[in-house]
Amino acid sequence: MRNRLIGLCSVALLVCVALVLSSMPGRAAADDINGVVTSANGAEEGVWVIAETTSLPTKFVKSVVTGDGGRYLIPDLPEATYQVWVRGYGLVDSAAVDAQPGDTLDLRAIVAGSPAEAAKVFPANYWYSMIEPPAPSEFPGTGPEGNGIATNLQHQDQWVDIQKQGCMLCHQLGNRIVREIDNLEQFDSSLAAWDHRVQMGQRGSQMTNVMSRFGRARGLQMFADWSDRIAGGAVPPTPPRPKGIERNVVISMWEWGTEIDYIHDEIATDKRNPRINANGPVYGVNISNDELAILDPRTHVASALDMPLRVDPATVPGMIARSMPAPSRFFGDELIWNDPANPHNPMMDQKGRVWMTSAIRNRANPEYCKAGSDNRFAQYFPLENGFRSAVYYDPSSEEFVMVDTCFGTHHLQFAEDENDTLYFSGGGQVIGWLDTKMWDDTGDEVAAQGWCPTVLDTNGDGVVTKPWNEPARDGQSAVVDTELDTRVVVGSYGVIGDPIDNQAVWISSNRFPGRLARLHVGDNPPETCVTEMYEVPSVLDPAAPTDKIGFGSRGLDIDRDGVLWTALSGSSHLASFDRTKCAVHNGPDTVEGRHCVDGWTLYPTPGPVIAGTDPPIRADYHYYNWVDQWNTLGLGEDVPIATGSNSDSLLALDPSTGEWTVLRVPYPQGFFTRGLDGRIDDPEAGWKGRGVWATYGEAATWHIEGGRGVRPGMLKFQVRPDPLAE
Amino acid sequence: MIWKLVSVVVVATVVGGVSFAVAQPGVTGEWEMRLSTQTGVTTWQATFEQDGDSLAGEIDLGDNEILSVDGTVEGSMLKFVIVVPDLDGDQPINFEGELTGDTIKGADGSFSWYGTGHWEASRK
Repeated sequence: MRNRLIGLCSVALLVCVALVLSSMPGRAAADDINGVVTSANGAEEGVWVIAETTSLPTKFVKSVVTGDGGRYLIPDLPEATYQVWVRGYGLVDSAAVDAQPGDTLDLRAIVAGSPAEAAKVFPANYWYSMIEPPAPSEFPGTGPEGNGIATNLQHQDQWVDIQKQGCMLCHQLGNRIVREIDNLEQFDSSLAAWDHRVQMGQRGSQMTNVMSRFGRARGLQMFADWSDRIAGGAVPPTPPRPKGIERNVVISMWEWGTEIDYIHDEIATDKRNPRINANGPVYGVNISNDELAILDPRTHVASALDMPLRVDPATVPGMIARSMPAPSRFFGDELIWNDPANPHNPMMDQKGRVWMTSAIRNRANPEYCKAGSDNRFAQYFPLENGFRSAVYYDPSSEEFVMVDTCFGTHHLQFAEDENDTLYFSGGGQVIGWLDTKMWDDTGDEVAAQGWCPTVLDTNGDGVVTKPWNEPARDGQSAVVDTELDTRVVVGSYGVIGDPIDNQAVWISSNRFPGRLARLHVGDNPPETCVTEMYEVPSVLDPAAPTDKIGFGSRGLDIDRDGVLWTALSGSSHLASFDRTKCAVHNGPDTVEGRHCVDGWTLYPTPGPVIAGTDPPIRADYHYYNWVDQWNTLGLGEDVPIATGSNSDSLLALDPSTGEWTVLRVPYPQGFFTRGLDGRIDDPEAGWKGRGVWATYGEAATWHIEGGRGVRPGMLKFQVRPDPLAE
Repeated sequence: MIWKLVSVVVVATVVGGVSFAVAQPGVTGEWEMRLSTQTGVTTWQATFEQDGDSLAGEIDLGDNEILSVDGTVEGSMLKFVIVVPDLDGDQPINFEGELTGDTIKGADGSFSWYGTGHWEASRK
């Protein structure tokens, strides 16, 4: 008993000593750097302290936020010499000071001398909020002979959707390289400069096409006016500094890839079990130059492997054009991107294998996919073409394996079923899947795959039967015979299995205003497949209540209760959809997908509102979203997180309060991410044993702060109990 | 007499030329397009509608994909674009070619996923 008492007292004493030491500036642990940040204004709270080094195998950056009294602690730094400096709203960047782990370093921040000086480090969305789209009263568009707005744009929301899903699909708008025109002297006007810059490089034909969708002259005028106002000294509103939990965020970043690599997505673990691949490498897909990027965060080594194809890559055209309307300002007429495989999205299975959507051949399908085949899925709905198939990398054998699929692939997710079914979006008119257990058992890629067209049970008899109503070209049924079912082309972008019903898979569509669809595969697909469709409430639906109007679904995830989450990239909401709130799932009233507005709840994301939008539309963009089902970040289970792709951030929502936690990446600016996942390396290690991973997915890497020569970054986000926790 | 004969010939030539030009249907009509690229030969069915110097119509790519044509005509030279919808951003494909009677000789180009090469078309 006495020994036990002594033991308890000793532990208590040690805890007290540790607490005192950790709160005392001037006593950094051996692998930390700590100190206090002050300026002419006194202690600087809620600013970032950034330590960066190039003396590891790849460039490494760690950033933390100052807490009370301006105190900071950068934990767990690998042995190296660091340049440490301060960035914050209201400041200009401080000079870097050399330091090493174990040092205590008090830093002097510099107060900005003017609003313009301070604004240089504001996130892109703050700058982008100053752009002025045409007023709501100017819609519908009347064309080049009228108001210059394209005639197919009936509402302001549709215009803004092009600003978001047209332009921000590839890169931030509002960062310095976009908002300012560095070579203005080469043109007669800023409008002429914008007309030229949207034609530059291998994505020039895409950019210039997007501009034409606005009504070209009117779209160019909007961007030129914005740049002119900024050149004239206009400054956006000031963002709030990190507060509360936001000050507990620790961000580690490793560079990977090269200065021309567009690393679209990453994966660290199996979404269904975040303990898989604990402490292992993280993987990314280099969509522009056909590589699997690999980062070992323990050794700080970044590497890459070439993606395979089954045919000569020279015979397979990539997604990115091999021509350009105008030379790049940075690379001239050099073709820097070559992407026959065009790997798009990775996902990890229970064995730690990295599955990817990647092309292995040309678009024309094998005969077994087509009409006349004895394949039952082809007999039910033949497929002539497919873009991308499935490829996985097995780290244990260090080999790639290719699986040919009849359906095209884009995103992929494993179901929580006994077959570890892998579902794919991107199939165009179908949703496809691979029974990976059968594949592992037999190696038979034909037998292991299946697909179904998306057909609504609009006659309400509980099954889908042929013949059905065929869709019109815009994806909606033109003439609906209520005695029949109705095929729809939803346009599958996001995909996620349903943890409540392992025969159900959900997809999202990014076509205005956005839709979700649920495919129930049943026991004997394809005959038992039934689809439901739910449109995002929007201006297209006169019955939609104002507080539920949004647009631009893209990403898709689900919580453990089966509630869907989709970030509305256009209207800047994170939206939930609860199917249990729907009174009707099928029948003739479901053909437009507007039968369950009650299922939707919209949460506006934080950030400034774009000038002149009504209802207000925020200037951020959310390429994708993810649900932290297993509390890998430390904010709780089932926390939905949107990518703040135009605000250098991840945005975590507390649905019970509608409050946001903004996990801002202070440096380098240009953190345009397209996805994230979370891993638990050690469940007993508290905050240090877990973290969320995301990569810079900027299509034009030279848009990232630092310009040409900068490489993409791979980041780990962690949330500690307080800003000084070691 | 000789001058009279020359005049008749000249007038006949001019009238004949004008008549021939009026009789030309331009590019309006049904066409079969063939793209020859590193992926092989791809055949599409096109319907072109010329209105002055504007070019519209549709191209059927097969697989239930029918895309609108947006372009111009200057003399015998055509330029048009089709936009292939895609989840990573719509992909415009630009075409240029020269109309000669019932054929179009297309220029070399990069045709997105359909490859890099040249195209031609025959009136159906």
